[in-house]
Amino acid sequence: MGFLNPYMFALITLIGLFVLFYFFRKQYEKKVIPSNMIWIQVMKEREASRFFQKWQNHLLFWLQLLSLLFLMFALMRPYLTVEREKGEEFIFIVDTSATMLANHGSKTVFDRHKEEMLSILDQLHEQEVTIITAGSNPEIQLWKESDRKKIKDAIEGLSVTYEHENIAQALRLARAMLANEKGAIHLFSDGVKWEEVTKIINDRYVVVHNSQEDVINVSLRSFVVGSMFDKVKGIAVLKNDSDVKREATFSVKGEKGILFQKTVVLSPDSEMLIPIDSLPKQSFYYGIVDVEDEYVPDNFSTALFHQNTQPVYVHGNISPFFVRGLESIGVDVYHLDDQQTAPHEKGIVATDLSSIEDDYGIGYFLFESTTENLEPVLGSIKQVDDPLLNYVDMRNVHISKSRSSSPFNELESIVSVGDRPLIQKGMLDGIPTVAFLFPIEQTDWPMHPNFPIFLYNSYEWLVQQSKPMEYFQPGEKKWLNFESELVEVFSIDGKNLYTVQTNREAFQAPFEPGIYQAISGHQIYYFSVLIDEQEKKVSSEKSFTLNDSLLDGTTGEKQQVGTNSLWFPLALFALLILFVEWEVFRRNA
Amino acid sequence: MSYNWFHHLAKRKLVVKTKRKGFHKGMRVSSAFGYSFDFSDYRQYELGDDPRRIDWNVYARTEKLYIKRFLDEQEISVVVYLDSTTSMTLDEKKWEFAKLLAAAFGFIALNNEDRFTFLPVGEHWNTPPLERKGSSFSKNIVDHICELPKEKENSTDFSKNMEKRFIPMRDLTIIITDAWEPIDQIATLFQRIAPRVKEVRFLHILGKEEIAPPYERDVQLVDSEQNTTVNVSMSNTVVEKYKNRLHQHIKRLEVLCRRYKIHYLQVVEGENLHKFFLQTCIKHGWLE
Repeated sequence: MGFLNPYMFALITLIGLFVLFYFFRKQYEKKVIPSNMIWIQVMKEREASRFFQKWQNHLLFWLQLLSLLFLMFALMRPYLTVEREKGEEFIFIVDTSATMLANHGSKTVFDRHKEEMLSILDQLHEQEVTIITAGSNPEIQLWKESDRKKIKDAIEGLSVTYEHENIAQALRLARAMLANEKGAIHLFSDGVKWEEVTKIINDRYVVVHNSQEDVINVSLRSFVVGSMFDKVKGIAVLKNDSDVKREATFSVKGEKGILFQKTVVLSPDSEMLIPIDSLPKQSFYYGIVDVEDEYVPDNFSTALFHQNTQPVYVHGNISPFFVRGLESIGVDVYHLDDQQTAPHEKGIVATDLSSIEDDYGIGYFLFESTTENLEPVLGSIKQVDDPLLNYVDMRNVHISKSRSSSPFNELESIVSVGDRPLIQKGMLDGIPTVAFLFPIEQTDWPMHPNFPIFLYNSYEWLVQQSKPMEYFQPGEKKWLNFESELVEVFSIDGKNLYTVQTNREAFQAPFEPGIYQAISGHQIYYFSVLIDEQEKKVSSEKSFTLNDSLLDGTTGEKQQVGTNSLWFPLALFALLILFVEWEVFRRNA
Repeated sequence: MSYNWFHHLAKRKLVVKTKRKGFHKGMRVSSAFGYSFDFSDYRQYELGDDPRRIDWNVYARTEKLYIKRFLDEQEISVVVYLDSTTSMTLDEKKWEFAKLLAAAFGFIALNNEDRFTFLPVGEHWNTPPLERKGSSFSKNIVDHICELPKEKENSTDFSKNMEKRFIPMRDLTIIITDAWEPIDQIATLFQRIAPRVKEVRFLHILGKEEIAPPYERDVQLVDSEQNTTVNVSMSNTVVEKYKNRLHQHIKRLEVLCRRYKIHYLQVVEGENLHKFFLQTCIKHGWLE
């Protein structure tokens, strides 16, 4: 035998209450007096004269009636029809990327979404809610919870993680989790398009809450510093994404105070490059754009000064355009002959596809050098969205011939024509590599202004890949090797943020963009958390609903359902009245 | 309770309006002319008058026959009915107080050479009334009354029993009772005795607790005579109502007494008796 509701045993306290009542029962003290003649008259008068007294006589009757009524209603199992949000189960997918901090009026998109979620929550009745945050990896914050308080707490505890959102993956996860056909997915983001959702989910009810309005945004697209001829130079790219003219002040701040400042006017939908001729040598720099716009996190970037820039060793028959291009962005280029011994320092090696055998390369530029076995490039050139191709538009570039197929399957193609890769990037035997599958001589690319940009991007990428402790995405996780197993992370103003045990867990960067210090043993590393390039552009779309007809087919967005918990207060009332009744009875007796 | 102060009462006497001739000589002025030494008036001799009463000195001066008349001193008969039902005897203090009142009247009457009869009225009293005359008995009667025991059994119905034991045609009838009976019963009593009495005094005695009930919270009040019970939750309003009712009861008693030309006086247990007799009674013409 067992009890299904053992805590109901707590009702035994009611028995205690009875006993208490019994003890406090009115007890008349017997008293013999010469005559109670007057007293009888008094009590008779009291009973007879007052209306209240009359009513009290009937009180028992009324109370019994009321008690019975309540009991009857309770047994009728009453219910209220309340409006509740459509769907038997809910999945909230919440975009926590930096662009969610775009302001519309006084509120950020994220806060508005939170309010929307809470208002949906208000209209839920016993439906389960799952919350997924769509960061770079989707994370389940809440799993099939129906406790309103917990859901509310979870929603209120959500915060922007600055990571670039991976809506597709989150949608896939949600779809996998939502077995119930009557479930609803609510996606909270800013610029999710119809196709993006339908590609993944087309058999569930999905409501996409977008940011609705366009945002006036001026961003600091890029901010880099480097040394050239013992001088520290910098470059900043400002972009006005909006269709209004904006005046912006760009300043560079170092460890102490402002180092550079310039005010520019950005015409609608334009980009501006600000060269910084000379900066004092410091370990890090802040680039700040002071402008009136609605999206702040991208108005700010950080750059670490590469004290020892990686040299590039050119090996073999390499196009002089490439060498010039590298030199123009301030890279030290060394030519290596076949006979020459290996250099002292490790560096990035630029070589042709045939000869990649050395042990000092920490990154490769690989070039097609032969003109044999090449096929003409016909058709339009396609490029993928990749950091290497920032500000690089290959569509106008003419490439006459390229390799028919890539010898490197492990590399990812970023520029291609048809199925043929033209430029590839990736890790080759653990070494970062950028491969050009066409000879530079076969293209007019070096004539284009974006050629050095691409070189710079590629160079930076190769350097970054080889020097792990420099740039991170918000919350990015990496397995790193430090001299000590314990790495303490401090904010730049010296606040200890957390400690990582590198032998046990991956190093995770903080979420908020900025410069941080990691201290491991005696070594201090500066590293910078930058928001994703894609987070510098704020997109906006209108909200929409998919597969509205899937849920019940009722009209409107809301649905009428009953709650059957009303019987309880009624029964409670009946019980209370019963108590009052006893008391009245006791008094009358 | 002490009665040391009774000697103050020795010089007082009960006032009776109707002066009738008694059978025995007393100290009281009778309306009949008698043989006392107090001169009353002169009157011309008429046939049949006692020639021994002619004032010869007047005849000598006026040659007319005059009779010198003297006041006659006569006794009166006083009867005291003391309510001895349970309502009176329940509270020891009230009972002692009531007995003392009766004794005081007896003391005054006997000291005035009046005839005094004491009659306790209860359901079970069958003893003959105690009748005394002469001041020599005054101490004796006080002791006797004060030592009067309670009735052993429950005793009730004062009016009926009083009617039963009523002694008619006494000059002064004093009734000492707490009147805890329906007014109708008392009215019946008055009606029945009215033709057979000369002068009646009604002394209404009330206990302290009856005037101001000291009870608290919830009490079940049991009637000492009827054994009926009533549950009362004490409160200021209830007490106030009680007092109002009691006042009404007293008022109705007074009205009833007035109708039968009965003097009504109320005394509360514990009142200063010295003051009661020498001030209240004199003021109301009960004593002089």
